[in-house]
Amino acid sequence: MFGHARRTYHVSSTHVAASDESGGGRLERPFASIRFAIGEVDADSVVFVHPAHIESVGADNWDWKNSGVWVRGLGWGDRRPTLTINAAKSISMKKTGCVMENLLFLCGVADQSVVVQVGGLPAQSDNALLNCEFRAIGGVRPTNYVQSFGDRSIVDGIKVLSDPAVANSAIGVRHNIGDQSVLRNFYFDSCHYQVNPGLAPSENVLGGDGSFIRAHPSQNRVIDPDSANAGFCTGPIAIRIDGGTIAETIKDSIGTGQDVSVWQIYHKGAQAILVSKADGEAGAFFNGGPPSTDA
Amino acid sequence: MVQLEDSQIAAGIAPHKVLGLGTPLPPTFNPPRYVDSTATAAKDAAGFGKEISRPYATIAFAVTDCPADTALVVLPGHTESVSAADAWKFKNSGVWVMGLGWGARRPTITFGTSTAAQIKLSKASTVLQNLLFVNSLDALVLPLLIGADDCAMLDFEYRENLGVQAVTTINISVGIDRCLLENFKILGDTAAPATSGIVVQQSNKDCVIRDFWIEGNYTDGCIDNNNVGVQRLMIIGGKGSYARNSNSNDQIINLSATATGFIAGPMALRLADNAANITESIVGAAMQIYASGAFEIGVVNADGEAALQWNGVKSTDA
Repeated sequence: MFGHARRTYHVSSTHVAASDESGGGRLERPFASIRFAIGEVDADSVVFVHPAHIESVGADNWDWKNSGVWVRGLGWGDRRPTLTINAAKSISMKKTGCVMENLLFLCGVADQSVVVQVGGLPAQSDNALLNCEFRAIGGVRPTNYVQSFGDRSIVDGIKVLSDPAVANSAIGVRHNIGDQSVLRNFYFDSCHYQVNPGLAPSENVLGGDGSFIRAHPSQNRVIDPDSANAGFCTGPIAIRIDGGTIAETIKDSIGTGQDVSVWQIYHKGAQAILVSKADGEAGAFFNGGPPSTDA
Repeated sequence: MVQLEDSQIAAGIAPHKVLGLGTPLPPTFNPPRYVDSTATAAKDAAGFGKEISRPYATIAFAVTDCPADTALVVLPGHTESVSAADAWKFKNSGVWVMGLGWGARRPTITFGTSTAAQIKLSKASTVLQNLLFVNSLDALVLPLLIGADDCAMLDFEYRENLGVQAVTTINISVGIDRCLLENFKILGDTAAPATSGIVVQQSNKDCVIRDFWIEGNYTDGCIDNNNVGVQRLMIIGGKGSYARNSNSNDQIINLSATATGFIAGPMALRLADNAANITESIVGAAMQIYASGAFEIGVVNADGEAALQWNGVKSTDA
């Protein structure tokens, strides 16, 4: 609970006294950038990023100095702290127990490998990305918007509006090495979910309070695990594809057969996974994966 | 000077509904401003509003004086009339008008005097929360107009006095993007016909309507869009939504053939006529519609009947 944080810091690029200097970060003299703040603040601190803060990400990677740092954006809509990605530098939460919340990312670098990495090696675990929005801008889009890395990573409440006009689907969230990770409450437009092929993390894709995927025209396989994945995949998830088969909307792209043999998929009732294939059509239940039998 | 504390943020002074569509968080470190028509010291003048003991008297004045990214806290029991067009002239973006109180103690805004009476959200990222709107005037043209990007109306109720009906209750104006209407109730008069509960105008993108209860007598449907260019509109049941149209057009959601986006339950819909109208209750030729399982959309068209699942054409695996 961040209300019991060890210390509280502030970031606001619009404050007249904002300055990136050691010992700063007070309400009356906030840091000017999140990038500087995360390299400065104590462990287990909260960094409040004030409404209308803007920051370019490009010159340097972001390096967290300590674990347990919670970067919390304030404000709603276009007053949320806004990070514009101008160069292929990644924001990598390579510590433990760090959180980024309520930030808007404008992604303007073509084919950028990863915009935000949640966690690092398996030991850099328990990180979270909460209630953040990503938008493609300038007619380009990254290859991966978010990469989840390390054990027990959580990506919750994410909205990714990629660009359907750019050839090939981007990956909204990609799970890499690490177990017991969760993707939940997501809205993907023109992008999809993938597990890094050949790896075998145990990850969970959960509809939560309701999740939505509008597939890129080129990509009907919108949830693409690895055949060795373990974990849960549950609705409620509403999916729209432009072709292909409903059974293959959730499937390993490099294997054969259903290739979700270690995953368990729940797609009925309160956990419904529905797939619509054309304008005006109602979603039909996902029908891949043989149902369990009482034998 | 009173300031919202971290503990208040943690306690959730704003709704934290996480649906992958953005979560409203109030601006918390600008000192809040206060509005309270019941306070003896209340006054609409510069220098007021900064302390709870010396509040503004009206929201109409407060929004002309309130800095950007500030919570404007409206105290329980506050009452205010709206009698002219564009009655609240917002000066800055990011103002969060936050009503306190429950039921009849919520801040209550009454439309009257002129059929042009209206609140227009004219600055980006304005949020209205926990307000009760009451219409006392028949043929009120349009009481609530969203006229800027990224605005939100949360946890509100709109109701009408007996025998009066606004023509349209809420209009999301032309080309306005990313607006959110969430957890709200529109109870229109069921006898006098009106046009629409909510109109989504053309060229909007990424607007979200979820967790609603809409009742009225709407000739164009409870949620209506008759114009082109609406993209990625989301009409979502959320934790459960309800709509009843008492008009014989029997349409709940009535979208143009070019509007794109998601319609998903859970929703309970009630139509006026006991007729072949279940399929037609939702019109959206370019939308994708999810009406089964957790997204169930049930439709009833006669008293005492159990719902039939909305029965539009389903996708097939071929």
